[in-house]
Amino acid sequence: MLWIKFKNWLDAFLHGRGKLDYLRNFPLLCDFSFLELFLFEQIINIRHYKKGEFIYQEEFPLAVIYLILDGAIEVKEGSDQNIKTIVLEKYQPLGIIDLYTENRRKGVAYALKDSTLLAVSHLDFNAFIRSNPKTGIKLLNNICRILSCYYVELQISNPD
Amino acid sequence: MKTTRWLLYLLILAVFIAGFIFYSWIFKYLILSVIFTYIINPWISWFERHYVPRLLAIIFVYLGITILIAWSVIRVLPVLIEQSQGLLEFIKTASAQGEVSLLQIPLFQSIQQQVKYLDSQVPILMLHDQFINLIKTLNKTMMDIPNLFVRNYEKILQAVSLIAMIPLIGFFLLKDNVKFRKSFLSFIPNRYFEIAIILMHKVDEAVGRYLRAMFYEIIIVGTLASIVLTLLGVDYAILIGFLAGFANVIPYFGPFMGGLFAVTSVLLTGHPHIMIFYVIIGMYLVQVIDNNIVYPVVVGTNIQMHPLLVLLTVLAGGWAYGLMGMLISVPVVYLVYSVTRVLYINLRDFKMI
Repeated sequence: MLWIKFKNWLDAFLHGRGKLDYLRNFPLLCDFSFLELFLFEQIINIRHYKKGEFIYQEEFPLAVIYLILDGAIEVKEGSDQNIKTIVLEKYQPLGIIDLYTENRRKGVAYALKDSTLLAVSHLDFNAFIRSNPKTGIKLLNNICRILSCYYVELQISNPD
Repeated sequence: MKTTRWLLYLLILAVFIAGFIFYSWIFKYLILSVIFTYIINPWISWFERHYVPRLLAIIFVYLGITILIAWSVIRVLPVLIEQSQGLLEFIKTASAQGEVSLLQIPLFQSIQQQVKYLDSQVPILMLHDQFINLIKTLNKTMMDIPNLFVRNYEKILQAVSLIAMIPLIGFFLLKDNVKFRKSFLSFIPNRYFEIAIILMHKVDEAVGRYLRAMFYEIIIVGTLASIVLTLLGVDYAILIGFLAGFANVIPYFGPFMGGLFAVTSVLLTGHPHIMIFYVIIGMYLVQVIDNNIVYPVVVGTNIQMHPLLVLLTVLAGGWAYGLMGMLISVPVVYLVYSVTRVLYINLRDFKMI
């Protein structure tokens, strides 16, 4: 009991336990332990975007993936005749699918309202998975779950 | 409003310039500390990956380094001191006895015999007198070597303070490196954020990989050369081995310099001339191991610089900063080249040029 109390105090002192709990709201990080969150937090950069500000543009190299902490982001893909628009909201990831399929951005993304995003460089992201295999598997597992949910939603909304 | 903004910019610029002037003398410390942190950061990251808090990880690594240094001081330093003392003793004797002592060295003896023979054949050359003058000049230079320590005691003290400061500055750089990185990126406007984060990562990776590779290569080649030279019975083997390790940093020419140190030692200490052959074979073996095992594993990629460019860089470095310039010029030029390349590729990809 005393040991657990001491460990909690030490964690709070050394890592700031409790400060990172908000990260568990993201489906990508929902099952992360405190120490895993602590490691992941090191590669996160908080960015603020004003309404209408571009996050990225078409044909830019895929450099960063984003997690929406606050606000809403619109992503537009496709050519003039066939523009596909997706609105992503709080706690949803942006750029995860492209991470494993493309080297360049397929569309443009901009803030629908004032938004706060957590940005992670894809190089840092991949390095994190490589250097923390157990946590990396958790992360990849969560990505698969998110993508399968997304696929099911797509099937329901557009059965053809 | 506009005037106020410009005044603010001017004030910031003035603060930056003042800061630059005020802190300029510590840039050397900072650069060396950054190199130090690049080398040991992966060890700290390893601990962190095993859920050891960064602060504790740094303490563990510092403790490990302290233990290693203590062990080296106990085991290796006495041998090094003994070898250095032997060298100093040799210099002192030479200084005390003048050219007579230098002429006791077999290399100079054989040269003197050749010169005498030439003079007897062509007396007009008077090469022997010139040879004796050369020996006297050499002797004068050697007499000056012990005085170098006395004359440069301030520099030696500066070097000691430098060595003491590097781990101290390194500690804070290591402890807060994530904070520094995040703070830097927070100043970057959103428009340039993606390119900034990629550039930072790639430059960091290129510089880190190269510096670590250099460090491990110096250690491994230095150790291998020391072992080989010790087995061959060369005097000052450890000293020469590690000099060869440092020289190895220079691509193409470094290995020759390492071999040259060893051969010079054999010539000056009067070992049988056949030993030169053994030393060359031994140093060649070290190079074979380095090129086929150490280099591919440690460095991974080859330094793609033309030999002529390497030669010119070494000459320019030597001309500007002496021996130290020769050693660090190639790595510095290579790093500048790598950073420029990464910058160019990414600026092009992000359609900024």
